[in-house]
Amino acid sequence: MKKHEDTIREVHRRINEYEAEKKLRRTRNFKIAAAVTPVCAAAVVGVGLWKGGALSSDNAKMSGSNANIIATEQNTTEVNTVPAVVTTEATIKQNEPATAEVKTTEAIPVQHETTEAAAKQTEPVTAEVKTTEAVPTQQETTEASESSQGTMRDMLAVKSVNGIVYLQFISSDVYTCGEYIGESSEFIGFPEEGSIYLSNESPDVIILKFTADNEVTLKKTDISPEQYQQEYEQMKEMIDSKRAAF
Amino acid sequence: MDNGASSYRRFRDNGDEHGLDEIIIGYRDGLMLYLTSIVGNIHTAEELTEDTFVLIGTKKPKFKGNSSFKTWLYTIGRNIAIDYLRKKSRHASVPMDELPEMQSDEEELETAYIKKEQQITVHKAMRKLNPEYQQILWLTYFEEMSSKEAADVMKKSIRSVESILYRARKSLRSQLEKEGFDYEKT
Repeated sequence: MKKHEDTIREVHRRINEYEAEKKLRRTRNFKIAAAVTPVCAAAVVGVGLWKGGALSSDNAKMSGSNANIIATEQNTTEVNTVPAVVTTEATIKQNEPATAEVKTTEAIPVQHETTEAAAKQTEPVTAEVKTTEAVPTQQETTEASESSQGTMRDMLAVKSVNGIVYLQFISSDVYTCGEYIGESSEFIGFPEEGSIYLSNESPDVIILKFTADNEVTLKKTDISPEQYQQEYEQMKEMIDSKRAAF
Repeated sequence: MDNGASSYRRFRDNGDEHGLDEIIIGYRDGLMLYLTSIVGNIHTAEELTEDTFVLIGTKKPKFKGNSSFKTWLYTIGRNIAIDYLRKKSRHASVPMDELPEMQSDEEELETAYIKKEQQITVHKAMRKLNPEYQQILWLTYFEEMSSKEAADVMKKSIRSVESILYRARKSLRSQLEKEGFDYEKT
């Protein structure tokens, strides 16, 4: 059996051992906490960003696809460039007060803005908005063109009758055939089949009639045939090159 | 040293290690003999006594003064002994009660603590009773605790302690008679 002194020594030794272990445990816990806290903080921040949508893959897709959106719209412009010729023509005539021009005039900013959108690739949002507005208008023009058979495309090119350039236009007004001018093949830019008449309603409007049910109304412009021919050639060249690329 | 409370206060509040030393010197033997009555083994009781002092030295539980310091200390010792017995019952071990060296250690402690030969004889007879009788007789006869204090240490009611004490005395008397103890001398 131990003596009192031995017991006292043993008790103090065990107490000191306990204190040292406690201190060691506290130090170890502190070190673990110091190591884990930044990781936890980073995880919390990461989760926060993730939940907030900052790390979402949609964002990356959105930013990455902006250029594609523009490219797509450029392609759309290229596809619809044939009726765009019409809109160019309309640009020339936009100041005329005729009510029949309303729809064609709508196409004017479309052509220009679409071109702007293609040029301003650094401003994708603006380009998107403008293009979105432009697309249906162009489609409307295309639909109108396609509804008048395939020959309409050729007819839309250069239409010069006796030194006056005429431009096709779509109107809700009804024009009836008046004086017969001649066969379409006799004039520049017109298809071979068809007859041209003056309209009874307006001296500035002529009618190209293919059959009894198929006719196209054209309106007088102020530009010269040469100027129009030149613009048309340039436009056609650009269209052909883009179409080939597409 | 007073009843131990001031020594403990010095140790606990001021970090005076001598306070704990005084408690160990003053209470070790009595606590060890009391715990022997619970665990039935002087060596185990010695370890448990040490555990009791280590516990108050590390955890530093607050002594509120609701009872005497001895009662409080013995209660802690008893709880530790009960825990030990509970663990021991789960892990069966070989009893070492009959080792000769253990007998001599116990006799040595009896001689040192009890001093009076007559009381040593009574204590030897007590050791043959059941643990509960041993505990109550030790606390009331050798530690001179009241029934209330003994009840506090043993976590029993006063009535229950008095009943146990009555039966323990009867049993002790029987045991002493069996051993030829002469009551005329006392």
